Amino acid sequence: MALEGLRDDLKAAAGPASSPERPKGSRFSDMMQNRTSEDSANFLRWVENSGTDPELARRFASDSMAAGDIDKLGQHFDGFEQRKGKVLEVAGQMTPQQILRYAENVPLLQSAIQLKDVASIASVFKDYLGRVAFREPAEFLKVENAFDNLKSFREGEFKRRDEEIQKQLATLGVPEGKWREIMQVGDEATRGNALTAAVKENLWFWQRPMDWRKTVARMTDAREKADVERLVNELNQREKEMGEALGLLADENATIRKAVNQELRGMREKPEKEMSFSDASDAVKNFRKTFNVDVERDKFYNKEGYAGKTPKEKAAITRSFNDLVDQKFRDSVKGKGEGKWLEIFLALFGMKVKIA
Amino acid sequence: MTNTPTQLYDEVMKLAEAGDEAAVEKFLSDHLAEFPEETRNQLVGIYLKDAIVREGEEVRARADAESAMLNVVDDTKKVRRHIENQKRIGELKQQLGTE
Repeated sequence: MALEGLRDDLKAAAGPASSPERPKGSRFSDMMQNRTSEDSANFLRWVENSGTDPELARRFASDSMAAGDIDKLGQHFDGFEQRKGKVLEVAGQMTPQQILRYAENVPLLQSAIQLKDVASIASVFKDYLGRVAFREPAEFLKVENAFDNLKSFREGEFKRRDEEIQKQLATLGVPEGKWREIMQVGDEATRGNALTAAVKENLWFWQRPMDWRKTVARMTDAREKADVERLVNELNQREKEMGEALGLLADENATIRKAVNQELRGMREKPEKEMSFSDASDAVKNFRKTFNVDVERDKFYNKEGYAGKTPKEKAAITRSFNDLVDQKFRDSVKGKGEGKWLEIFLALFGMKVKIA
Repeated sequence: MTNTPTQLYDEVMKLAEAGDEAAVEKFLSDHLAEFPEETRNQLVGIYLKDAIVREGEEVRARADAESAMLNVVDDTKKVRRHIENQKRIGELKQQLGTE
């Protein structure tokens, strides 16, 4: 079954997320001293997003803090640490088996595994998710929901339902050869009809009550007659639905699995549109016509007096310019959705920004 | 031969602007090792996030479909029982000569 892999590797749950061992005061102090770190950038976002003191974030970023700022930042640090704890908890659920399974169908992940061991990739994911959590909380929420769904499949309501369905499918009594033959049918409607035909003889509740037509014919009470006819029509409708459901749930065959899964996903209303590659490709074309990263970076750096700054200050200016490019590209694709391609191009623009 | 970040960037942009999704995917995968570590890690994170979100959606959708199927089975059993009852009522009426 397609879900067998998931069923197997969900058994190998990741260990609990480890909590930072250094005392809080030291962690705060470390971060304050290393303003170019990812941790510091995330903290800056956390302070910015708190909206309580916009100037505080600016002073922190530019290393020009006023008296009392350290105390104020210390107060934000508690919330920041809690959020980081949540990130570790969510990211820690990614098992090595899961990464290997995803890599089976994603060449880029296969390449990554050739470069690093799976444990290192899990660590990369943890760092990446931390960044997402502070930059794009909605995207982080999607990951959190996905893990919740997988957890439910492992031990909650979805598990119970899945077991019940597996039991139902196991009792259908269709010979294995016949089942496999039906699963080869690519067209969903035809597959559903074939399944219904194959299973209905084996399910007592699909068999029509004997002589019901004669019974109806004998009935003189029009209301009762209409009632039985309505029920039989309903049964026919249920039979159709049963075939459709079976067609969707049967995942014996790898060749139809992908299409079935896509269809299942399509049946659910998407909370938001995902940007297609085609939209992303057009967006990149248009963006590069109006925004030349090299030219704009020179302008930005001149305005900020980049040349005469310390390495720490230069890093902060580069980060600000990266944020600007990020925002400009996002603005240019507003309404076209989010997703993988948007993030890939943002990462590439980020790389371009940092090319000296 | 190893590409510089500029060459990598230019090549991906060229393929992207040509609208060739498969070529972009292949290029990123084939040249992953050549990307600066920060970008490489971002790409790995993006693909992993995409995979987990997709799987979560599929599991959720499958659970919904399973729920729908169980409802269909339950409804079907109820409908059948109702038909059988009606049939039985009809038969009894006949036997009693009330129909």
